[in-house]
Amino acid sequence: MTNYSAKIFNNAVSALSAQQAIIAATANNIANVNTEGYARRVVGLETRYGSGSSTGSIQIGNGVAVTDITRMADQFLEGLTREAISTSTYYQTEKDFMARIQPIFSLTEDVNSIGPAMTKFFSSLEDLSVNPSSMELRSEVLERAQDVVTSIRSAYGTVSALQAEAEERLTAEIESVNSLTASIAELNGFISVQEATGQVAADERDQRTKLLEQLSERISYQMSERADGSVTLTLNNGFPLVNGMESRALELTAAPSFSTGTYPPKLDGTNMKFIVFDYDASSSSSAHLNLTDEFAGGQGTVGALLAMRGSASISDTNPFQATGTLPELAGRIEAIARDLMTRFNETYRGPEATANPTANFDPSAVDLNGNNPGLFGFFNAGAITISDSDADGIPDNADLNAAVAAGSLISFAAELTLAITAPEEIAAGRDAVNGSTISGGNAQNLIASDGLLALKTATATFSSDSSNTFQRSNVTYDQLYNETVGRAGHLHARAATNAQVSADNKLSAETKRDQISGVSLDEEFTNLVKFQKAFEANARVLRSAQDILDTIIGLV
Amino acid sequence: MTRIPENFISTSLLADMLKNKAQVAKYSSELSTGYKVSEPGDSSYASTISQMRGTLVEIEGQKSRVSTATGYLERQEAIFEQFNDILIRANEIAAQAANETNSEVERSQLAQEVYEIRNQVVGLANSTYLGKYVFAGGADDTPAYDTGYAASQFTTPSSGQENAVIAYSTNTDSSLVRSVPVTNDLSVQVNATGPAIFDDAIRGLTQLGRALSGFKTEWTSTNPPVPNNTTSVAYTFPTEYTQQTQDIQTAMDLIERAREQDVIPAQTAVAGRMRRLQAASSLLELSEASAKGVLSNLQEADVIESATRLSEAQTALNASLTVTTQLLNQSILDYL
Repeated sequence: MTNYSAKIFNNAVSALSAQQAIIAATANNIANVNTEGYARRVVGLETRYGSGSSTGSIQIGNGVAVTDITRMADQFLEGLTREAISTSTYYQTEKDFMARIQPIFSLTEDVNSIGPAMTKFFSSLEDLSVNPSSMELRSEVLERAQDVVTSIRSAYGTVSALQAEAEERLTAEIESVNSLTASIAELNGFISVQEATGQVAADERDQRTKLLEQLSERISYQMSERADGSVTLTLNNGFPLVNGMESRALELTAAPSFSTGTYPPKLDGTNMKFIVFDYDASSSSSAHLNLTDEFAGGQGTVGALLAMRGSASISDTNPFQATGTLPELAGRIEAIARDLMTRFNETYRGPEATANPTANFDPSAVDLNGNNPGLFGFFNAGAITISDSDADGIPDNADLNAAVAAGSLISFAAELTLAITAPEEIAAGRDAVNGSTISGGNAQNLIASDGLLALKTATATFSSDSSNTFQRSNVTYDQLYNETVGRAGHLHARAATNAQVSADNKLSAETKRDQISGVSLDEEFTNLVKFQKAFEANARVLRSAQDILDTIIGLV
Repeated sequence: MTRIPENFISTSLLADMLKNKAQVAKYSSELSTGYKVSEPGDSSYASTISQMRGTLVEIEGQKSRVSTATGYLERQEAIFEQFNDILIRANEIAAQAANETNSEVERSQLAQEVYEIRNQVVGLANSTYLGKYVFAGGADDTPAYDTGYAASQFTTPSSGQENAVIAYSTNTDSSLVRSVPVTNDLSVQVNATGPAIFDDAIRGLTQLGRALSGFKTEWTSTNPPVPNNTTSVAYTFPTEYTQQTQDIQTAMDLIERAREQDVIPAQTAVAGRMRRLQAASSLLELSEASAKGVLSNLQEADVIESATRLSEAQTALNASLTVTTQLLNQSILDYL
C-alpha cells in the first residue's frame, strides 16, 4: 500500500524550504535596495523529480526544489551605462573647468578684464594727447597701463593655476585608477575560482560592477568577459589594464624615459607630466610606455582633465604647443602680451633710424626728463633681462624668442610689468613722421601724431610663441580679445550643453539597467506576501498530514 | 511589464528638483544683478556683447575728448570775437589820428591808447585754457609771446613802449599744432600757432603806435614782428607830417588786413571745427544709444520677464518638492 502520508510530509517540507529560500533572497534584495552595483536576485523553482515520484500508476509528485539563484544583470545595458558614465563625467569636468575660466572674460563692468582694460588704456593715451604734459593725465595713463598688466597677468595666472590643478587632479585620478584596476583584478580571481565550482559569484560580481562603473567615471576602456567569469580591460590601443588576475599600475611622471633630455613645460614653467606604464618597474631604470594620448582621446575625468591641461609632445619647447583648452586660451593671452612687448614698445620707442637702419633706433621719443625710453620702454617682463638679440635697437619677437630659448622665462603674460614707474617717465613727445626728431621737444607734445594711438585700430599678426602655435593675422587688440571671449563662451556653453545631455543619457542608461537589475520594493513586498502565504499554506499541509497520521494512529 | 525600481524614482525626482532649483537660482541672479548674460558662456552673442562693452568704454572717452576739444575751441572763439572788436577799435583810433587836423601832440596822446590795445592783443595771444597757452602751438606750457625791452634795441627811444620787443616763442615745438583724436576717424586741431593770427596785428599796432608817437618804422623782416633795431628814426616835423600820416594809413591797412585775413579766417576755421565736433558728438550719442540698445537686448535682464520666469521656476520647484515628498512617502507597506 502506498504511503501517502510520507508524500504529504516530504512535499510540504520541500515547499517550506523553497519558500524560505525565496523569502531569504527577497530579504537580501530589500536589504540592498540602495546598494550601488547590486543586481537583484531571483530564485528559480522547479518541480522536484527523481525516483519515488511514481506511486503505482499514479504520479503524485515530489514537491518543489530550488534550482538556482539568478543575478539579474544585462551585460549590454551595463556596458551602455559605463559608456554613459564616462561621457557624463568627461563633460561635467570640462564644464566645471570652463565655468572657472569665465570670470576672466566677464561681460560686466565691475571686472577688470583684458579687453576693457586695453580700451581704457588707449582712451587714456588719447586723453593725454590733449595735454601731454599734464601729470594727472600721465598718472591716469600709468594707472590704466597697470590695469592692462594686472588683467593680463591675472588672466594668465588663473589659466595657469587651473592647468596646475588639472594635473594635480590627474595624479589623484591615476592613483584611483590603479587602485580600481587592482581591486577588479582581485575580484576576477575570486569570481573565476568560485564559478569554476559551478557556483554563481553574485556578490563579487556586484562588487566588480560597482568598481567598473567607478573606473568608467575616470577613463574609457574596452571590456570583455572570459569564460571563467573574469574580465579583461584594455585601452583603445590594446594596452591591457586588467588581464585576469593581473593589473598594470600607471604612473604620472614629469621625467619619462622616452625624453631625449628636454621636457615640455606647463604654463607655470614646471614640467608637464605624462601618463606612462613602466615595463621595467622592478629595476632602478625605467622603460616608459607613453599612454597619455590614449587617455587624452578618451572620456572620463582623466580624458577631460587632459583635454583641459593639454597633452604635449616630448619635444615641445613652450607651454602653448600642448593640445588642450587651457594652453590655447593662455596662448591667446600670451599673444596680446607679446604684442605689447614688441609692436607697442617699438612704436613707443620709435622705429629704426631711416638714415642708418642698422644703427640704433631713432631717439626721437623723450620723456619729461629728456630721457629716451629703453629697449623695452613701456612694457617689460619682470626682472627678466631681454637683450636686443638681433642688435637692431628695437624690441621684436626675435628678442623675446631668444629670451625663451635661453630658458629665462616661459611666458611674457606671466611676467608682464610696466617699465615706467613715474608719470614723467612717459615719453609722449615723439614726432609723427617716422621718428623724425622734434629737436628740443621734451615730451610735452604731439602724442596724437605718433603711432601709439593708431595701434588701437591697427591690425597686426598676433603670435603666442616662436612656433606660432596660436596665431591670428589682420586683427586688432579688440578683435582678438572679443574673439577669445566668444571662444571661451562657446567652449563653456558647449560643455554645459554636453554635460546636460550626457547626464540625461546617463540617467536613461541607468534607468534601463535598473529596470532589469534594480530592486523594486513594491515587487519585493508583493513577493514577500506571496511566498509567506505559500509558506503558511505548506505549514498548514504539514499540520493536516500530522492530523491524518494522528487519526491513523488513533485507529490502532 | 515595466519594472520601476526604487532607485529610478528617487534619482529622477532628485534630477528634476536640481533642475528646477538651478532655474530658480538663474532667474534670481538675473533679477539681483540685472544681467541675463554676465559671462561669455551665458550667451552665444558673448563676442558681440564684449565688442559693445568696449564700444561703450571707447565712446565714454571720446565724449570726454569732444568736451575738452569743444572747450578749447570755445575759448578761441571768445578770444577771436574780442580780438576782432579790439582791432576795429584800433582802426577807429588810427582813422581819428590820421586826420591831419590833429597836431603831433594829439597824435602822441593817441599812441598810448594804441599801445594799450597792443598789450591787450598780446594778452589775448597769451590766453590759456586748462593751464595751456592756446596759441603757443606745441610749446603750450610757456607763453606764446614774450614782451621785453632789450637794452640794445634802440638808441632813440631807448625805453618805453616804442622800444618793446614782442616775440613769438622760439621753442621749435611752437610751430606745431595739437590735434586731438576725438573719434577713430576724426582728429581736431584744438590750438593754434600765434604768428599766423597775431603777428600782423601786433606789427600794425606797433607801427601805428610808433608813428603816432613820432617814430618811423622800416621793416626789414616780417617775422619776428618787431622793428629792426637799425631803423628807429624820429620824424622831422613839420616836413614829415605827411609821411607820418601815410605811415598811420599803412598801419591801418595792416591792422585791417590782420582782421580780415588772420582773425576772420581763424574764426571761420574754429567754427568749422566746432561744427565737426558737434556732428561727432551727435554721432557719438547715436552710437552710444545703439550700443546700449544692443546690450540691453543681448545682455540685460528684462525685469518683468525674469520675475515671471522666477515665479514659474518657483512654482515648478514647489511642485517637484511636493511630488517628491508624496511619492517617496508612498509605500506598499502602508497597505499591507
